[in-house]
Amino acid sequence: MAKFIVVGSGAAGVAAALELVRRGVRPLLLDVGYTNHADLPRVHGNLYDYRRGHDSFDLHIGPDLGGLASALANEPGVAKLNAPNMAFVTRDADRLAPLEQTHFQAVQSFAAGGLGNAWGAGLYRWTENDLDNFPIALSALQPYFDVLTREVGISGQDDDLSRFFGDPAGLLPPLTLSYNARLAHDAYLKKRDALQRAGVYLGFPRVAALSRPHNGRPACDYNNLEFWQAQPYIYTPVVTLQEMISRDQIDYRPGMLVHSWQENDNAVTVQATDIHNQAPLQFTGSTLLLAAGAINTARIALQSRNDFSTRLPLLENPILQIPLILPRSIGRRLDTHAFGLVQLNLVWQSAGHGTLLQGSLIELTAPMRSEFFGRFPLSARGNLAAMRTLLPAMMMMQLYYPGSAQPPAELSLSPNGRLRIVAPPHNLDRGALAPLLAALRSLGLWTHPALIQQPPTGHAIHYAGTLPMNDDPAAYQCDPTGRLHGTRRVFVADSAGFPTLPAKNMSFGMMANAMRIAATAAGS
Amino acid sequence: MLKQADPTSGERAFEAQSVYWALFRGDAPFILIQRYEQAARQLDGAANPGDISAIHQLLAQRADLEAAELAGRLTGRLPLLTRKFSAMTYLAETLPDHQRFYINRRSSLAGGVMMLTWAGMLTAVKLARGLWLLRSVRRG
Repeated sequence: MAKFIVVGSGAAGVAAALELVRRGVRPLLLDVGYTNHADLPRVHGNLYDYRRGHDSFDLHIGPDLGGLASALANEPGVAKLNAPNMAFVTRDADRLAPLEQTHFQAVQSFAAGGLGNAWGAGLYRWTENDLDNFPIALSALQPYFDVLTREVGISGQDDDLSRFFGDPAGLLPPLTLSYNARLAHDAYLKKRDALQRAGVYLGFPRVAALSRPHNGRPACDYNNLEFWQAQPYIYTPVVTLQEMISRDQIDYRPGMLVHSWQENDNAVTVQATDIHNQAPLQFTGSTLLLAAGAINTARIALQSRNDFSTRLPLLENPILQIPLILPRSIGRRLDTHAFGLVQLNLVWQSAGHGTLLQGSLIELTAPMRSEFFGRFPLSARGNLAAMRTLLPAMMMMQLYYPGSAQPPAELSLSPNGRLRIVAPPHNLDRGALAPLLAALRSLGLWTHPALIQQPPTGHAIHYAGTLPMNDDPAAYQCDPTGRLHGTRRVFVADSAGFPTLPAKNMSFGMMANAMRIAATAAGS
Repeated sequence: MLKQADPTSGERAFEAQSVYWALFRGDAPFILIQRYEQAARQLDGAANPGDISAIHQLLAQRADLEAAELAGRLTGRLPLLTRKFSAMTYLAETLPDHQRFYINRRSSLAGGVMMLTWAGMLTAVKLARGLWLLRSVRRG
């Protein structure tokens, strides 16, 4: 009998397993665990140099046209997940965990490392403000933020955003800014007093991409390949997973799809299916840590009780995508040596919203140029001209709202085994953005409200709150230690346990909380 | 593996050439036609028959596809044609000798402004022509 069983190898599952390993425990980690077996070229050097010398069809699109999926379906997709080298991240998700969705587009992963394989790598310490309505104090998470900062390697800087992003101790130097990001940052430094009076703060992101070698991994090479293949300088949960496997610190069982658990006085038994031969299997342990993601952890909880009537809440960060043009950069050559993910962060203390909103300013150098075809109200050749001359002068700001900015979706289990997710249609109030857009203009970043897009709910891929923590938990809620109500041995280690969702990227808070819960479970 | 060009797919090859011409003003490379045919098969398989018929009419008329696509995109009509243009744009971007259509490798503010001015003027002309074209297309 295993002492601890962890379900899922995403950011939360790996963090929970890491904490158990730190405490001398060798957990059993159950995972479907798909990996990238695509026989695709590995690009060395710069993306744009490669494209000048090679047919990049296999890299960008792939023989099955998977890279065109969003374009062919005319649905907004997550560009990074369309890359042939990333197809394994969402492989079989529709078959293994079928969903019926209304006004919601969830992305699920059964890959080793989970959705962390394709994440934006932003890791921000939470602050007291982010823990509003959580039944825990920040001090309970701080030690784990410190451990993870050393393990992961996070680039960033002590700047105006530290008051929102927490203690900068242990950060690696920030990544080099792109030309456009430097223009915006320089403008901010000149106007910071006025901008801060307007509640706008700009600074370097905290990103799990290495600005210098760390723990045997190399520094960022600024080759724009972040969307197209795994990069050793970007931390993903797989890094820690592989380390624990290679050191025999965990009993890793890939190929296992967990359905449910049963608990008795002495043990908890997990029912799973071997996905290779469909054989039903059971695993027994003293404690179960669920970290299958907020949606699938809820599915396992509902299936364990054959409950087809309860509706659980599902939180998600609503987002707006704000294209920004830097007129000074029109006609510039494309910055082919940039970091392709977030360059800068912006925090807006919005009086109108009564809360903090967080923006990520992203360079547009990593995706294919064609991603933007039709986004300009110009003819086809006009679009090509804009892609050539205007895109190098553009950045995209992804503006994150807290989960409370829209009513939660409802999640329930259907008798046919599908999980039903129903979200209320909701449009964010773009009129309230006027002060922010004025602040952006003063930074040389121009846009127009008509260009701002709200992707379908689910696109932030920040799912939480299905089994929320509560001081006085009811059914399908956890106590502050993560223990699920009505159980003795089942703990919720992932974001399912969050009672609220701040605008800040939840990944780091989720990882630290998973470690806290693993520590509590090990202690109990 | 990429499927071989379908010998019975003359219509799609013609469509590929027409879409390519509308975007790049040249003859499409064979490999691009092959790949486009594969994408177009997927698109047509899931498309509204009225849209397919409308595109066939435009092709038969040797109409200005760039104009029709623009008018269709801005008026919400004929989304299939926009998807076909989009597919061709993606596929062409993977070819080394097409990088110049996508990547600006020299900086010139004046050049950029002139290019965008040209794009705006071209769009105005194409929009007028496209709106007229779409009026003449039957979608049944």
